[in-house]
Amino acid sequence: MKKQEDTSGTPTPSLFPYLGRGLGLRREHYHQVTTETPPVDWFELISENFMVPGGNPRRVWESVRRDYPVVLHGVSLSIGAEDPLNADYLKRLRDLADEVQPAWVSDHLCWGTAHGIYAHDLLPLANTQATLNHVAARVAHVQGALGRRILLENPSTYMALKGADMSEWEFLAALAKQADCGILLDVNNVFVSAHNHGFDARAYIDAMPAERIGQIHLAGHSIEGPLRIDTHDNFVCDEVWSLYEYALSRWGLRSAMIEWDADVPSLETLQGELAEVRARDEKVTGNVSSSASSSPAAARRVG
Amino acid sequence: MSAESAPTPQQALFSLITGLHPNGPANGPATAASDWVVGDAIADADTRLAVYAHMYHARLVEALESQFPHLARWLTAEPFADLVRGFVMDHPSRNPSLRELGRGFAPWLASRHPAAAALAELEWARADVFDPFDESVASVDQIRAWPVDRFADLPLKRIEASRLVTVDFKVAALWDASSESSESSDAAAIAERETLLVWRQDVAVYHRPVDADERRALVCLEEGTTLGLLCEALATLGSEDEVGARVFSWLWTWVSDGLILDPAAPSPV
Repeated sequence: MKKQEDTSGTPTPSLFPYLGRGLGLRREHYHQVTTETPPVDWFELISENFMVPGGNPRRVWESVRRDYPVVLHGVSLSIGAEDPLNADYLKRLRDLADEVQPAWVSDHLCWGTAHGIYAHDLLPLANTQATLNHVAARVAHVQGALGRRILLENPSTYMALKGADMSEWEFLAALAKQADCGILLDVNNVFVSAHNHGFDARAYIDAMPAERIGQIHLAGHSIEGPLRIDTHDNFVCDEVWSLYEYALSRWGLRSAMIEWDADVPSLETLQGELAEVRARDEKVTGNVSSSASSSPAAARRVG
Repeated sequence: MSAESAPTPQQALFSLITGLHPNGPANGPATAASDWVVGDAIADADTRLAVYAHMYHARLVEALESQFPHLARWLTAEPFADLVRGFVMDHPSRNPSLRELGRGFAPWLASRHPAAAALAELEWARADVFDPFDESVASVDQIRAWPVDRFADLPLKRIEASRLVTVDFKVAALWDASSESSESSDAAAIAERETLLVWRQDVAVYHRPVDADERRALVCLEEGTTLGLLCEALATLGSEDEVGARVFSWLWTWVSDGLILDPAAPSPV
């Protein structure tokens, strides 16, 4: 695939353009975003919520796309499953992407189907060479079907499968290179999984191929018993902010966004979190000039 | 996979997480979380797998609660969750989108809780009209300007974003009683046949009960007809003048509600 022009001016150029600081678009904010055009650099749309012919979903994405750069983020690709890839799903995703023209399309490094049944969850893979080969071949198929390079996100995990012959970060880094795909690095998920499995979160960051990191997710999580759970229902915690700063110091600026899915707060509260992202960006890189978080008009220039 | 073959690791984990055994119980000894999952000093294998099992069911209950909010309030949380858990055991999700999970819920409820099934049917219809393409609809001015001598040829077809729901309970009242703003959601279901028209106008979804005569007319409009043919189809309702008066009365309401396709669009008949 043709390498895209880097616009971030960061220490390690990315294969993906820099969009600034974004938000995951949630139903609670559809009306406000489409009528008030709040100052957010870009929005991430959940692909499955918009894979319908018309009605309100179409009105929403058309309106948002008119005013902002967007990316599509899926939850049902099930890239690591033993089940065959869902050809109808891929076609509908391709159709949506062709219409929306997102900056990129992403999904998760996981599996979520068996026997043709969807768990609607992000289940962890066995980190083996055989699994890596299996997933890499499927990523190649998906990228061919979609006609674009995809990004895969590390999910939070609460269990590790027996028989692994490499770590999750070794698996993800090797997969990105072997399959020629990008990485959506969820810093909160790294922190949550590091706690749940007792590994060093910074070692995970260190192992990432910086040029393939196209996007960063930041979110809140909760603590339930001995485990941390990726609940997306709270502010980003201090430890995750610190890990984000560490990632910035390694890679430079990347398109970063806040995810908040449960007990969704006001858009103004989420914009407060974006201000925190900006402050961390400035603190670590001293460079926020290519961000457009202060005005949607500037965001359109970036997009 | 045949019923005799051993499950793959993912199939075994899937069954442990969901409780589903789509191809029947595997041959040989039952598997346990510790067969597949690493347990350590932080948490044992059962605890780790239980997180996914809990999330699986909680996510599906939450999804159907968002699709059937009035039913969930009317039944209250735990009875609703029990029904959802039973439903997804019988009808696990085979669609990448959770939006589709509720499609079979009302039929599944029919033999178990008929009143709940009726309310579910209304709520699903309301959800189902959300996604069709927006269509150009007839305006009152268009109808007024239609040549009088060609009124019989006026094309009449309902928008795709409309449904007729006929159930054996008074669900319009039940829907109102179980709304978020209602002070009491413990209204009793009244067993009486009722037909509701459900439709979307712009981004708002509406429903209203219709009588048997209007229902007959709206059924004709589903496939598309003309004003003249509609009056002929309803001839048993009364004299020609009486039928004409009723149809015109309905017509203004339908057009005002954005229910009728633009007559200038290609003929639906």
